[in-house]
Amino acid sequence: MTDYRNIEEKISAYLDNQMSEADRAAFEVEMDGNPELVARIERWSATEQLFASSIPTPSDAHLDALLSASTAANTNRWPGLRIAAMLVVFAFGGVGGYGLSQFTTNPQTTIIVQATMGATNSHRVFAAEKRHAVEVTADETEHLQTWLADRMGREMTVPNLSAFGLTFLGGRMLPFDDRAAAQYMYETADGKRVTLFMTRLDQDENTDVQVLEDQGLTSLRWQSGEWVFILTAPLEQQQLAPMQVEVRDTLL
Amino acid sequence: MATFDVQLKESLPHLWRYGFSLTRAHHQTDDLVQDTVERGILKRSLWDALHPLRPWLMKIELNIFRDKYRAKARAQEVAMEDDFDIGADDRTIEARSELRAVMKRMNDLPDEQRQPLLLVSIGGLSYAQAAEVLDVPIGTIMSRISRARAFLNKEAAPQVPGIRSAT
Repeated sequence: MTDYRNIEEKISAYLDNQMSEADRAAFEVEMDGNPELVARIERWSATEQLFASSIPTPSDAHLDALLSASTAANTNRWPGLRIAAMLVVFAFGGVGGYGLSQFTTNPQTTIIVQATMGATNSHRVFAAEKRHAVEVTADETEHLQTWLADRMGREMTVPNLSAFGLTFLGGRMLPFDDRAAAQYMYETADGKRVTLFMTRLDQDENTDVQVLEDQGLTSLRWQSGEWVFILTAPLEQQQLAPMQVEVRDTLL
Repeated sequence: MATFDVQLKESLPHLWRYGFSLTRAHHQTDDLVQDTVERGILKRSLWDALHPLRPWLMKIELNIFRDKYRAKARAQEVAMEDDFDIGADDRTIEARSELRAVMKRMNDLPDEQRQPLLLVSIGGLSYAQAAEVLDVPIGTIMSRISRARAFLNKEAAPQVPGIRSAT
């Protein structure tokens, strides 16, 4: 067990995913039945997401340009390193970049990038939970749908993904920007969590599905009118695609 | 462990975002990242291939920032929000003012607390890696990050029970 000196150190280690399995399990027991603690953790997390959302993510093309300039400078200064520099440039051609930048290469408003970050961050935070993965469990699906529909101002039918081997676990409301977002969570037979994040944007638009791959997670994002939907899971894009079709048809 | 080149490429977005959190300006971040990559390639023979590259590059980045940029940034006294693109997006007035408040508090944080927080939360390093970059024990990282977060959330700084040396 790590020697945490106070509750604040525990909260930080929890948010940063720096706890051992045993410490995390013990802390989740501590959270259980302590809504003040849970609220505090959520507040700390929201503050950080707010800050992180203000740091732009450069496009792959921008980063590649920086890199080429750096390697070119090195080549000039150190002729002996030319081969190394060329290898660097060469190696970069085929390597996939940082996920979010795939979105920023198209003109996108900040808010849709924020929504994507919110969806993946929320996935990481809540998919890792055992006892508090959802706020309202699947056995109260009807209540969940009514509650979220009231808050979100749209129909919130839970898509049935059992044909894909997914069990619905439940859902929760999340803060996003100045409004509400909703997260539905499903689980595969081998315990992988699939989340669907939904929120309202200010501009009306219909988009194709865009794919984000970032640190082991795949997200599919599409916008339908004012609503953005982001389906996130540690699964391949091909596995997620048919689920996305079902979700879209249900929530159109 | 992936090769130097692959890890360098994968580190770039993190180096850039971390750099932006330090410089708070686009063009300075570009320069900083470029300098970091240049120096990293020059010193690549010093890199221990058994360790991940990103913390090593971030240490270089932080050193370059400290040597070259910080004095300049301080002299200009640029308000944080000016370069943070707050005005450019469609946040509501409430969200903007909340963000301003967070940034102001981030600005007011002592450097020794801000650095580990940025390395971990923006740079994506583990506590152990941040401890390496900043040359302090891991317990100090944990303590400083938790105090930074308490401050950002307008709470009293956590009290450390018992007699311990100040960290």
